[in-house]
Amino acid sequence: MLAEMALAALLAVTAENLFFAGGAGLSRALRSAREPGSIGVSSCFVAFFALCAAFAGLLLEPLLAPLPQARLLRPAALLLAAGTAYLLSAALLRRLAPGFFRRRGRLLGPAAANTAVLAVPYAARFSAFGAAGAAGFALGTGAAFWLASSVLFHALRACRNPDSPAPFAGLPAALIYIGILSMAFAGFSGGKVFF
Amino acid sequence: MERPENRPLLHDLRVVSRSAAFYRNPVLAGALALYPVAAAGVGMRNAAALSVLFVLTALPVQAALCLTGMLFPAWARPAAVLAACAVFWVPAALAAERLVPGSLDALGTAACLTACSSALYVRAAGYAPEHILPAALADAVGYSLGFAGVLFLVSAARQLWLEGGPWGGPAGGGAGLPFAGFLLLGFLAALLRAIRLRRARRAEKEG
Amino acid sequence: MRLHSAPAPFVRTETTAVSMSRAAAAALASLLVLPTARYGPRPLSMAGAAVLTCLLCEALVSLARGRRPVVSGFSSAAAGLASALLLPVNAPLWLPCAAGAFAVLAAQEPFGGPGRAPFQPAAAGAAFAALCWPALTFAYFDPSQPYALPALGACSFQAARSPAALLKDGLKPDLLPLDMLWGDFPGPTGGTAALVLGACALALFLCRAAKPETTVCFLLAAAAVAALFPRIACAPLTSVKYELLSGSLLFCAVFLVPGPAALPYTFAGRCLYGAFAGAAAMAFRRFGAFEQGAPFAVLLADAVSPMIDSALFRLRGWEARPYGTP
Repeated sequence: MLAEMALAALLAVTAENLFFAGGAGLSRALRSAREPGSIGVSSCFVAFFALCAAFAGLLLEPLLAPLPQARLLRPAALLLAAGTAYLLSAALLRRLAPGFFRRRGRLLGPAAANTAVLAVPYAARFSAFGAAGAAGFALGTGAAFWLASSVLFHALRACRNPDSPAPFAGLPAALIYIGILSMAFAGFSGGKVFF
Repeated sequence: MERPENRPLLHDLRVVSRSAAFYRNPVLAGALALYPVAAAGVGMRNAAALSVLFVLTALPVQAALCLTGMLFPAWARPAAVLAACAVFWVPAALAAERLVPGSLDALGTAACLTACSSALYVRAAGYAPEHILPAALADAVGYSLGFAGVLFLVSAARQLWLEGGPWGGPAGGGAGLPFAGFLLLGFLAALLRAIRLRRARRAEKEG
Repeated sequence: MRLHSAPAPFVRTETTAVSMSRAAAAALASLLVLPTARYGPRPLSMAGAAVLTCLLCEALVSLARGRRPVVSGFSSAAAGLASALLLPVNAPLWLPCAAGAFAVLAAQEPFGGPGRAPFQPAAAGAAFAALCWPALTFAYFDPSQPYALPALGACSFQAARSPAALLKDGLKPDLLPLDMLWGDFPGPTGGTAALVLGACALALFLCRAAKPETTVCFLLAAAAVAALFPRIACAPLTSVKYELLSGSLLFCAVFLVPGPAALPYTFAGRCLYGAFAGAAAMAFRRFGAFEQGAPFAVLLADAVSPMIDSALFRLRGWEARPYGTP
């Protein structure tokens, strides 16, 4: 079980990296990179909500699979589950750690609504992970978010160098940077992560 | 018919829409909704289906959060956004499937993940609850058009690249991968930045 | 003490960017001698086309920026040569041009030009060619067959499997490792002549155009992975020889990995960078989609390089942790 978790986590960071190989969740990673003090907390939130999403996917799949409109209901069900997870965790944090929630609570919503988080159940289903694998993949996604944000933090400094052409300074160069790094991850998968 | 007393409001709404669509384009200026463009923005059919999905989800979600957003405490609004996206995505997906048959299968996970797009979330949670309904809808129309415009441009370019360009060159298989989408977005964002810089310089000269 | 302000780029070594890129370009050009002697003028036309494309792209970007169309030193020429040498000699002429154009227009100029790019441009160009046209990038003709490769036109040949492709399938190459030193086997144009590559490495280290610790750590890490986790049933040393001499690993170790703009500042950082790139290259070879993974590994290592610097600076207490730096 631990081996399955570890392998799934490794896949989430490398060959099936949802951020660079899949393209999901990079908007949030870019924003996180602009606030380097929040990268650690955001990554923990992403890992937590990815875990919730993974288990929601596993629990809901037996209920949804027999339905004729499963492919329409699945995203809606996962979004409702994400909303519920957010509500419960926000309420808990407000009650138990109000100071922390005041300082970092604004990071909770974007983590719950992150495209990469909601992609975890699909990736787990595509790779036929069990509970351990899904959990490992979710934790790996949190680690991949941390890595993506950290890399982009340094990348944004390189992309703001005064010698780059004015139209490219900042976001345009950052997007090209992401594209080139995405090429590196595509060298693992050879194609899209999952579809 | 446009009445004189409505002209300032309509003008403001047009400004809001135009700004959201172009100068504050959610993809090229805000780095939002990158995933659908990069991962699934290949070919006109995909672009059309994703655009329909996005517009038909964004408008009702934005309207719902505008009308009910202030009823929730600020900390609970993200949950309201997610619930609204869940509710309105289903009819949007049915409409997309009706208008572009087979699109949901072709788009795969990208269609499902459009339901929680960062552009939708940011505008519905931040902008809609604190503005009047016409402004929220104008903003939604604007950024949906902006998203769709970028999506169509990138999809057309990648389709052309996949087919080997207009000169019948060798087909480039890598155009369907996310990296191609990000690279094209980077160059389009640079083009938008160049246009804005030129406008700013012209305004400075005239001012 | 007088303060002299030097012009950008601020490369992390005591020699100038121009001298380093000149040395790299000269070393790359020397790799063309053996293939030209064996296969005729085709390697020269490929390299020439790629170099011209890179120079043209750089000039066009200068014009677009409203400047005179100047070409800065030998950097673009080196990128063009490296792009051509990473491809098979039988590749169509437009392929190294496409790789070179990508290297300059996407990996170099948007970030400010030579010396400021966060990624090694030639590695980006090679990765681009591999992802877009894998069938052309990894199709090699058999040099033992009596072909006459046309200088400019398309080549028609019977494809042969390179040692790297055989290793990927878990098969042992037919060649003896010693025979692979001379480069007379299917592979990238500049990646097969190990002895010439070794001489180039020595020349670059002696004229301080490249950092030896990066290359050495890259090769040591790759060798360690090859010895500990061989892909074929053989002795560890045989596995090391086959892995190091096949594909573009050696070429990347000499020309791409010690690229000055993306290297960490410290000696320890450069060693870590080289080791990471070497291990990543072997991981790409084993688990990746293509038979060669070194260019992809270089891109990954370039992305991780600033994080290595940041971590080492904090560890040494050279700077207080900047606000919120991960």
